[in-house]
Amino acid sequence: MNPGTEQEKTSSEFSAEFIQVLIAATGATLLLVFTFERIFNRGGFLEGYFFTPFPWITAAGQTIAEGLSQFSGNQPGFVPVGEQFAVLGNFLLMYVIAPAMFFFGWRHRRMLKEQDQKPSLSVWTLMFILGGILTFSAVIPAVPAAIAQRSVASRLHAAQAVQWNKDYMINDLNTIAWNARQYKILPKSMLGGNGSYIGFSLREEIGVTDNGTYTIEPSEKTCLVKAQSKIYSNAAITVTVNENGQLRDWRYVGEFE
Amino acid sequence: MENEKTIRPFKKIDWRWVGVGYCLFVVFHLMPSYLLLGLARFGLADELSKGIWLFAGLAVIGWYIGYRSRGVTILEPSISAFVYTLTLALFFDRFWGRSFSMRSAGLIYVWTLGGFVIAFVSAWIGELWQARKQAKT
Repeated sequence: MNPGTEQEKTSSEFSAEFIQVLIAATGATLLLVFTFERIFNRGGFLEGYFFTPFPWITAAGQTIAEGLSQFSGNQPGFVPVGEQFAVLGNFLLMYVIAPAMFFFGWRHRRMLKEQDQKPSLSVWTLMFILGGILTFSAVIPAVPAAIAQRSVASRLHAAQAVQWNKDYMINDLNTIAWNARQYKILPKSMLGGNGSYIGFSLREEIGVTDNGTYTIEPSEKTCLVKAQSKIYSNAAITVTVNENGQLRDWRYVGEFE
Repeated sequence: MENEKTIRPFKKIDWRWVGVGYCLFVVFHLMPSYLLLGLARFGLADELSKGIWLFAGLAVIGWYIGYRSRGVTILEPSISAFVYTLTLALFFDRFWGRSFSMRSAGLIYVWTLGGFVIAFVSAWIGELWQARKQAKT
């Protein structure tokens, strides 16, 4: 037979305090989940605000939404009070209350151990386990999330730097196209091409900038422009200035692709 | 005659452990699940991970009851898990990301039976663990 006996089972395994707290916690959980869930997500005044172990994600979401709203021409708005309380509540629960429960429960277990007593199913056990679940559910995923965040941030910075260089070079190419167009429409008497790109050359300050180096291959009706990035050696752009001075046939090479 | 390694799960149901087991499932499974659902809503968890969490969480608590309780406590956490999953299925239709209705009674049956079986097996393992530990001491 299993070592536990009927005699053992007759003595209570739970303290009255433990049962009371467990029932209270059960009732509170059911109330929270089945009642508040409906208020939070079924059209109540707190719709959309929910608990999360990572409140900063909610805060970041608000910041991004606000930025997009302003980008769309809207006036800066205030974060709704319900949303502010939701984030504050999440912070307090996950990073103040839960760790406090966990460490108080831990302290109690250590004290019992020092007195050579075994921990029993008590309020302290409940606090220790529940606090531990909440604390570690927030802390453990935060470590890989922090590493991933750093990696993503690094990649974003690199991608943004490439995009900035590309944007500046496109700007330079527009300047070249504008100059080529001016040259083409001007008569020979005014040092122009008289309807042709042949003879067009780049001034030094346009041919070499902080962003890239530009070379041209002018012909009668079009002017091919080759742009080589100064920052990224394998990044380049090839584009054609058509007979109307417009940039056409964009081709991006290397990191600009 | 019983020997020390025999475990009889259907001997007598301890209804206190059924009630306590239900409360433990609610407090230690539903509460963290509800809090972590915030992650699911950000798209970081999918249906599969939710399913794994459901059954793994039940298994951990079922194992704990089997291991921690005095005597043989196997059917008790199973009944608790059955009632617990039934509670979820009937009252929290959005919990698993799908809507339950009378038409989906078969699905509810699968969930509750699954919860029962998982808790039963894990509590059995917990009892074996407890027996082995006590045999050593």
